[in-house]
Amino acid sequence: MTDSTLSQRSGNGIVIHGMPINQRIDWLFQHARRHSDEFQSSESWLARSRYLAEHPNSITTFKCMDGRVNIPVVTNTPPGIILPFRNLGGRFHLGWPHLGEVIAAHVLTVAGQGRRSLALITYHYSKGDPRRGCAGFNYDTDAARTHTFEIQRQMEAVFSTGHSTVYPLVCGFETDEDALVLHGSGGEVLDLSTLSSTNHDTLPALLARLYPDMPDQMRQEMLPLVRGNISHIAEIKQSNRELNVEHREWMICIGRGFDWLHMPNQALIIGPYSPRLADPIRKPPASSRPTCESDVSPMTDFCCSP
Amino acid sequence: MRVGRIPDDGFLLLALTPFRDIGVDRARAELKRGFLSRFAADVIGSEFPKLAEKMHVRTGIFAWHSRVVEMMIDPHPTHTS
Repeated sequence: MTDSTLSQRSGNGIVIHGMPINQRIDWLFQHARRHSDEFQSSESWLARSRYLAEHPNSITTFKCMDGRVNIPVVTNTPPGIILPFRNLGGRFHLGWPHLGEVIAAHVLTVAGQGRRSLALITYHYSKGDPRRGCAGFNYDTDAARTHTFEIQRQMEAVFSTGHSTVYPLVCGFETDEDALVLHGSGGEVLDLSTLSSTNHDTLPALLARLYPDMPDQMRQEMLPLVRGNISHIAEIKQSNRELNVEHREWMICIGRGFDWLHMPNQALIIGPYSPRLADPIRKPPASSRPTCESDVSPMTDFCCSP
Repeated sequence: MRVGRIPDDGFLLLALTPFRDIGVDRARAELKRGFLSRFAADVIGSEFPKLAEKMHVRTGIFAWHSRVVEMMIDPHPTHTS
């Protein structure tokens, strides 16, 4: 899996943010090539093939464009397994025509292959400092969480509350320790940062308690995500990484297919989902708000004049 | 740029659209990437004209199965650096 920290330096070790713009663009092209080369390697292909053979169901995530929220990395899942839907603040509405079409097409394709769909609907926050939370929701974690439950209701309205084929679940993401926080169907919450690898044997029972209406096979699919996150959290706790990172995004990305660019402090990524597509271009994005005195636009952070 | 965290010589607008199959699917992706880049460039150009002078525009299409990004300079001359 790509190490985003290393890849944010050029070949001679210069931090990307300090380079002239043309060199940064050159680095971007090279980074894209490195990512696709790695993705196409035999090792990566075999890892994906093995994973899909063992866990055939589909996993999608709905999440904020914030580069810290990288579910494959924090669950130690091979690239290319989890299908992400990203937008500013993790804001979605299944009534948006394009988003609805994309999701429905995906679910129908997967169902036609005899597979189920697990959808992780995420919000994010920091337990150490609210200002490291989701600025797309004005650092209001309750509002962000409420929004994810609304998306869950919309998923159930479209794909049924029976949950035998599509299971949408709400999942918090605590960015200080990269911890998933699972919201059970009965309101119970499981913060994976409170578990350790010694709890692995108890995980099936914990998931059965959280999601009693989830098909057994789908719960089996969740186990590697949960175990992977517990291992990742342990690594993060030992790493003493810097949490108060200044935002230095230097590109605005619009569209889909930015998995290779999902890293902190490089890009503001806007999904093409909302029918009011200009709004997220004009409005402040979650990750640039902390450095932005005015609420005018993401552009204010780039702009020379306030 | 304003507070010196990145050089003030420009920023990048990158539009990218994915495709799964060659033929129609890829052709649609090419059309969509052109639309998205021009749409975003126009919003930035009309709302933030001074900033638009520092905008470098690139577009690309993204092959899901290989993760290959085919980058290209946007043909839209107004906003291309």
